[in-house]
Amino acid sequence: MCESSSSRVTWEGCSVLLDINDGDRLVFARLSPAAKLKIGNKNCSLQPLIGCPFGTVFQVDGPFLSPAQVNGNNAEEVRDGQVSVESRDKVNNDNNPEEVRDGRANVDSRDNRALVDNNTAQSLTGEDIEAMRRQGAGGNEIIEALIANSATFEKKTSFSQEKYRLKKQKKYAPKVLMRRPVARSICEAYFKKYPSKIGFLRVDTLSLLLSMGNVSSNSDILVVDMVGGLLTGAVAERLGGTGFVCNSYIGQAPYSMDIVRIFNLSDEICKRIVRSPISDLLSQKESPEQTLQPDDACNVESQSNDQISASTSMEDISHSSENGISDLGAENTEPAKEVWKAPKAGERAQKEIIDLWKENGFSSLIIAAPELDTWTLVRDILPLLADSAPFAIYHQYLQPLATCMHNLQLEKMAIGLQITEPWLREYQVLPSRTHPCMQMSSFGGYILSGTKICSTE
Amino acid sequence: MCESGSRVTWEGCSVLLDINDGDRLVFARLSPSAKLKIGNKNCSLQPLIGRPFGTAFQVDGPYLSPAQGCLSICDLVNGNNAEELRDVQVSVKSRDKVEDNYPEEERDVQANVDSRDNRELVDNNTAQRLTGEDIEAMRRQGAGGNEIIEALIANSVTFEKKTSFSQEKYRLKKQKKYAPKVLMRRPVARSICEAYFKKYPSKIGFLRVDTLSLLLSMGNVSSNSDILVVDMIGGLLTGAVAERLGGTGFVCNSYSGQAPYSMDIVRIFNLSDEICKRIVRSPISDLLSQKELPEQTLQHDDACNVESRSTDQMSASTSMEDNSHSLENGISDLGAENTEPAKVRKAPKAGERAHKEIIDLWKENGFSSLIIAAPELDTWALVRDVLPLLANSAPFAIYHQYLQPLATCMHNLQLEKMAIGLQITEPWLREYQVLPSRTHPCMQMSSFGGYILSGTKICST
Repeated sequence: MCESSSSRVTWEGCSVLLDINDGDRLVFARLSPAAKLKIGNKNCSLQPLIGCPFGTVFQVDGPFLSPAQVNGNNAEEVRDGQVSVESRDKVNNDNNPEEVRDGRANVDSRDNRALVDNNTAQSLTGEDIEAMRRQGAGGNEIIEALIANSATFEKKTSFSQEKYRLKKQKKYAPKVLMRRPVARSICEAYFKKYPSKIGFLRVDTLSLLLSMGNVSSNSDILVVDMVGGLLTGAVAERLGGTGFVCNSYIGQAPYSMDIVRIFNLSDEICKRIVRSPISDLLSQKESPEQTLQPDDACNVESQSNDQISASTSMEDISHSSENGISDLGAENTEPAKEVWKAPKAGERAQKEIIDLWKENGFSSLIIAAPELDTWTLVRDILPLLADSAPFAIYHQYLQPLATCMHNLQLEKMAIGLQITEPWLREYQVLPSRTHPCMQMSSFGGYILSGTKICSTE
Repeated sequence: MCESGSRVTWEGCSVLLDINDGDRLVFARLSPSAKLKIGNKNCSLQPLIGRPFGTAFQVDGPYLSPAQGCLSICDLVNGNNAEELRDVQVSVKSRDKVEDNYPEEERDVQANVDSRDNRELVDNNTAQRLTGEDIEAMRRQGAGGNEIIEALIANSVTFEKKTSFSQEKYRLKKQKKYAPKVLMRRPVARSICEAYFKKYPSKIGFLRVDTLSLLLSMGNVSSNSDILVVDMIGGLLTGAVAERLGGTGFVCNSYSGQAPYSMDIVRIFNLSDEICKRIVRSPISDLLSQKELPEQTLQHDDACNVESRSTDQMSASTSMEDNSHSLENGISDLGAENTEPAKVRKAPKAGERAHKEIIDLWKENGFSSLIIAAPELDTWALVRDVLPLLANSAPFAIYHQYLQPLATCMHNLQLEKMAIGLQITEPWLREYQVLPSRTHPCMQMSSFGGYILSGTKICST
């Protein structure tokens, strides 16, 4: 049923990120023969996507999606490059058409000053277009017909013509790029449309968290993840099936890990994602005496039963949540009718592994919990780290981290503390037109990082 | 002696000298004996007296003479647009410099026109046949900077092989060395703030020019307003407010304790006598303590106390004056190199002690608005004291480099119901290059502009 996430071809039941019209709309979908996606006013079946390589570009063909006419084994790379170039062109054209036109005017004297937007330039009517469509004309044919019947197209500058063509293409011949969902693309998609679900965690901040937490093979990472599971999935993806990710939580109800499903993690990797309440990691640190052992065993069993019930309930909630958040675009689509069960991540951590962590400590700690009091949480779980283990704490605001840093210094629990504000500036790269992009996000949150030290006095 | 708003400089006025398009910025006061060191030459500033602001100069032996190109432009332009036009010139030149940041891209495009590129060039210091001695000999024979540059180009083995962009870059580099340009700018709030922010931002509390603009707007600085100012950023805020008031209303520069804060930067503004008289100083204790009406029997003691305090203030003021004098010499050069300090002629005196009558008037009616830029004080303690001095419905604006003091202050103001319409703003400034077909954000920017807490004072009876 499930193939490894490193496969370059999609399979039935896998999760994909559909990039419609170069980032205009981003949809997460799970491929199955009955799955459908609404584009414009059409419901397109996702069945043709099964078995195609990631990175394939599709176009709408009646009720189906068919691959666009591009060949080669480098399809994914080439298409990503294409998308990048097209996006950059769009930025350039849309944001400074006057300047571009002035430059163009040096070559030819056409400009757009004489054009009047009075809705009379197009002699083709909606009925004509529908008739063409019923006769089986493709999107590109409709676009060419629109251009031929436009009274003003020839008078536009070449940049305006390209802009017009692109606009019609988005309407009559939409493109769908099937991207592989990895930590970067998932974070970018959520940050663009639903940033509050991931605590306004920007992709460069996520990268910095993983680096400062020293996430590497065979590490045991303690994670407090209240950003929908994005952090847990990113850590598991980087561990690649070695080491463990212990997703811990306060109280008895685990935090949502919906986003982990989107990562297409393999069974081997999913088994390495475990859950544990913080109280379990803390309370049994003392060795029980022989006479009390039966009571402890009974208590553990009882907790385990409660956990199983809570886990089942969470599973149901996750199921409906996933359907609700699958579409990140402005429009709503029909939810995929059948949801293939993803490999189960987040099993309860076993007692043996917990005892091992208590004895040796975790390799590192990463916290992204905007709704908790940072210092209270850190005071409890920092002792769970091994000595000299790095930790990284993300927060959208500065003050909780400043307070935490101050207290860590006072109590001499850590060294090498620093608060970082990441800065991300995207550049357009084109011949003779390399410059910062016209728009940017100026806020990337804050990260407090440091190294845990032995606090025995 | 002093001419306010004049478009021509005068002896004793303050100017901002922009050397080589922003490479170096120097504040200087013009006098016949003032000198400025450019490269390894000491140039007299005497030829600058009587010239319009915005004139571009070039080095001519030990003198600065107007650049030939600008003379014709100056003749073509009449009236008050000279300064704007030259600022535009500077702007365009600065933008051209930005292109230096991506020469490879430029070269790729140029290669479409001709096939030259810079790959074959090897930087081995053998391309220039002209020696230092040759250049000195030319200079002694009276050759000008442009002649030296042309000679360098003629004797360069690789110049012709460079792309046109590289050639322009080379020419610009030599021009900065052998024919430096000096643009004489009028010191206004914007240019003073930009100059200090570029080289000595800590002296003005890291106040960026857009933040200064926002402070003045949120403080509603306008004609006939009485503005209460707490200025610990060298006087920049006081000068900017006075400049905007333009001789109407008052700027009351207040301070905690008995020693006034430095107002050195006010001298650079070239404010007229009429405007300077409107800049007054007062300790906050004076504004607060006499709010209660004294009884008849205590009036004499109060008067005596005021007189005594006034005497102390006078001594402190004199001491501050001496400090200001040396400080001004020390900070006049904002460039990396040091120059001989220009002789300082006494500027119109700003910051006289506020009269009792005017203080009483402010106590009765309240100030029109309040602006605070005091990074070293506890914000809430200060605001709690001076906010009641405002009239009801008066706006106030508080600047701080960091967020937490303003957040605490905002919280306390809400708790004690002293103000409404509170908001904390973080200004955002992004500079754009504007050129045909190459309009885009500048490659470099400053991402941090401080924070401003603004609101409206309400009656708290």
